Formats: sequence, C-alpha cells, structure tokens
Amino acid sequence: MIDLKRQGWLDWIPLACFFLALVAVVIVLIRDASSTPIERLTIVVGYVILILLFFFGFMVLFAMARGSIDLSQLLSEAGGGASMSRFQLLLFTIVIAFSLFLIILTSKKLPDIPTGILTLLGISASTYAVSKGIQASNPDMTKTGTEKTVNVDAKRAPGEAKSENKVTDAPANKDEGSKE
Amino acid sequence: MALLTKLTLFAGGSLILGFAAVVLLQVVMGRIRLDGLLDTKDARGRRSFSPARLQLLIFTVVVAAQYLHAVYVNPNLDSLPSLPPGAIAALGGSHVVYLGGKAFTTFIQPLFKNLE
Repeated sequence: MIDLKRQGWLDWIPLACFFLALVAVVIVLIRDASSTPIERLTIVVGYVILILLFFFGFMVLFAMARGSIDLSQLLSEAGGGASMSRFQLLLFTIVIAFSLFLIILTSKKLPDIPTGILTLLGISASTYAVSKGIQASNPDMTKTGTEKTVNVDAKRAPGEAKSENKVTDAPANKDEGSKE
Repeated sequence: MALLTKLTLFAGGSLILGFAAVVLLQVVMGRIRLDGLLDTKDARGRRSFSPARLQLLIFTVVVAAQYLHAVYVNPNLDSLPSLPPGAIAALGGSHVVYLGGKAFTTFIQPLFKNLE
C-alpha cells in the first residue's frame, strides 16, 4: 500500500501541475498570438494532458524506485523461482517500446506496427498464458517447499512429527560432536 | 506546436528510460530475483536444470538484440522494422519446445513415476 501522506513533497505535485498548466497558457498566448482561438485551445489542452501524464508516470516511477510499489515478484512463478515467459515478455516490451520511441524521435511521426511484431508479442503472451494454465492444472507445483512441509506436518499426528524431528536433529548433533 | 512536440518526446523518452532503468537496477541489485530462471520443477517439486529454458533464453536474447540492431542502424523509418519470417518461426518453435518440456514434467513424468 502506498503511503502518500508520509511523502510530504509529493503533495505539492498537483499544485506544480496547475502552475505548469498556467505557464503553458501564457506561453501559448505569447507565442501563438496570430493563431485562431480554437488552435490555441488545442495546444493548451495538449500541454495540460502532457503535464498530467508526465507527473502521473513520474509518481509511479518514483514509487517503483523507492520500493513503495513492490516489484520483487515481477518475474516470479507461483511455485517460486523466476519465470522464463515473464522475463521474455518484459524484455520484448522494453525493446519494442524503446524502438518505437527511437523511430518517433527521428522521423517525428507515429510509425506503423508490422504484423510480424504483433505476432512476436502474441507468441510471447500466449506462451505466458499457456504456461500459467499448465501450472494451474497441477496445484502441487504452485506450492513452495515450505507450504508443502506445513501441509504434510498438519496431516500427521503430533507424536509422529516429534519422532521425525528427533531423527532430523540427530545428524546435526553428530556434526557438532565431530567438530568439537 | 514545435515546443509541445519536443516536450512530449522528452517526457515520453524520460519515462520509458526511467521505467527500464528502475527494472534493470532492481534486477542488478537482486530485488527482482532471477534465480531459478533456467530450472524446471517436476511434479514432486524438485528443481533441475532445463535445456528447454536455456534455448528459449538464447532465442529471446538473439531476437531482441537483432531487433535493436535493426532499429539502431536505420531509425528513420515509417514503420517499425519487421522481423524475418524465419526468426518468427524459430521463436515459435522454441516456444513449442519450452511448453512441451513444461507439459512433459507436469503431466507425463508423474505417469512414468507411478508406473515404476
């Protein structure tokens, strides 16, 4: 849960957005004085949307960097360990987003997305979905080692569990004895 | 309008790079764990090295690097560079092997264990 109350300076972001929007209005009025009112309104709306989206993205990014948004399970599978399909989906998403940005930066227009790229992302996402389906069809595989141990212990009688503990403790004591 | 375009590019670029950098940093620092990436888990929960995962990792990295190279060499395009059909077919085959391996350890291996 994100505790925005503690992060005092983040409370000033809406105010900063408002002032930046005012600055944008002034810039449009001074620079584009010759254009029609509807054109100026279009540009001002563009500035306001940009400011809002940027600060929204910035707050999410800041929370991720600070650890308020927990990313530790981003690549984890249900049964523990990293997921190959999640890793691949993440890598392809970053690569294609970066490529798209680079092309927009140089050509200054939104490029077409070829079917090959959509197929690539489709294959990757389908593999992720099928992989989740396979995992879900075998509930034992989604449990971690500790969960399994707890379940097995819960099924046993108390006396039975104690006797096994004695057996597992024995080699440890033996090791200690040999060290001494 | 030119200033708005420049600011939009700056904002978009900084956010994309920022998100990528945060994820990469957390992977490097160990907050996002990658251990077990090349391991498979059988029906009894035991982990072992998986060649199917290794080949998928190699294909993934090769295709991603090839794509970034294609964009870097010629970024002045009207569309994103397309992948050759051979690469898509190879990646598709790689995924089939990965999913086949996973299905084998989940469904077929326990049957053999029961027969023994």
